[in-house]
Amino acid sequence: MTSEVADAHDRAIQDQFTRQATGFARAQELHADDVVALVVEAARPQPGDRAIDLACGPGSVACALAKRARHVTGLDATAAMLEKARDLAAREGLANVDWRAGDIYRTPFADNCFDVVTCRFAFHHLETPAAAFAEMVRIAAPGARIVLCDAFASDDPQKAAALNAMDRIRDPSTVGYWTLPYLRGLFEASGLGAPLVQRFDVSYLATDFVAKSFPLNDDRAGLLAIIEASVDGDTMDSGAHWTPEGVRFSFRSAALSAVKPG
Amino acid sequence: MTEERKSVAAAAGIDPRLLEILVCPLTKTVLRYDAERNELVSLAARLAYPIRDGIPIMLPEEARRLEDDAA
Repeated sequence: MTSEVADAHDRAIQDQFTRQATGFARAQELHADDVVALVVEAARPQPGDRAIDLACGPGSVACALAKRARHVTGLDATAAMLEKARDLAAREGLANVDWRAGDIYRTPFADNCFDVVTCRFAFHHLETPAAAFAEMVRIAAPGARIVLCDAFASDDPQKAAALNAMDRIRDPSTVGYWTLPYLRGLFEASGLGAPLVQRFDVSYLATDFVAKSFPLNDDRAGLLAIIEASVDGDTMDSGAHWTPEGVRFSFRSAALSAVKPG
Repeated sequence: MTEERKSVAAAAGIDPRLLEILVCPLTKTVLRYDAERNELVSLAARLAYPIRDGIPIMLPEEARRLEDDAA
């Protein structure tokens, strides 16, 4: 794909997700499915593939991959998440997926053993993302597709700091969102070349977002006030704006993908 | 992997093909399946990783340290 075509594709995806985000304003689950679909499309699983989703959480990406690949493994550090994942696989009647508890920095897999390696919405929890990315590349076979999906922070350091400060109150386990150039750089530094980047926005009504959160000191009103205060000057670079229903803002997100050289 | 090891693993509900790619997270060496204890043993790391509800727990902090006579 030429960069011009890739850019057009990026815009198409972005347009699509922007429209869907509007339509799905009140249906976050449907919205989450769209992100899963985007990760799977970027991974291009083939019928003979062995795939892995790292930091798989409740298993939605792994189960979606399992419908198209030969076998899928989901790895997560939290056993309780893996029980949810196993329940999802059972509900969907999937027999070709299994689960391992493990650490993304030290996965229990041999070198070069997966045809697809994905990781979604985890890198903002990591202190040393380069080490985790190196592990993704290590377990990927030559020719494997590697997909890294996460929200990203503004290139403006002040706006990035504001977004991260807000999100650390929302979820104290957040380390911080990385910038898109940083995430691209992980691919380039690993010899994968420039990744294909598919951007999308995960859009929230601030009141819904706050209601679903477990913020520091249970201070939901404080969290909402921070988001509302970011509208003036868009200080988190989140597109925050007032609507009749309240403030709406977005996590700028991207799925970055590349093929491991053979 | 030997045929014997495959059949033992399969009997325990562990897919033998996946045991082939599963290694010790610390040493990246192969694991031996201990059917009696339902553990995956890394002789190199002197650790036994438990399998709970069919899910291998490949976290060193959750593993049992092998005694000299248990390997």
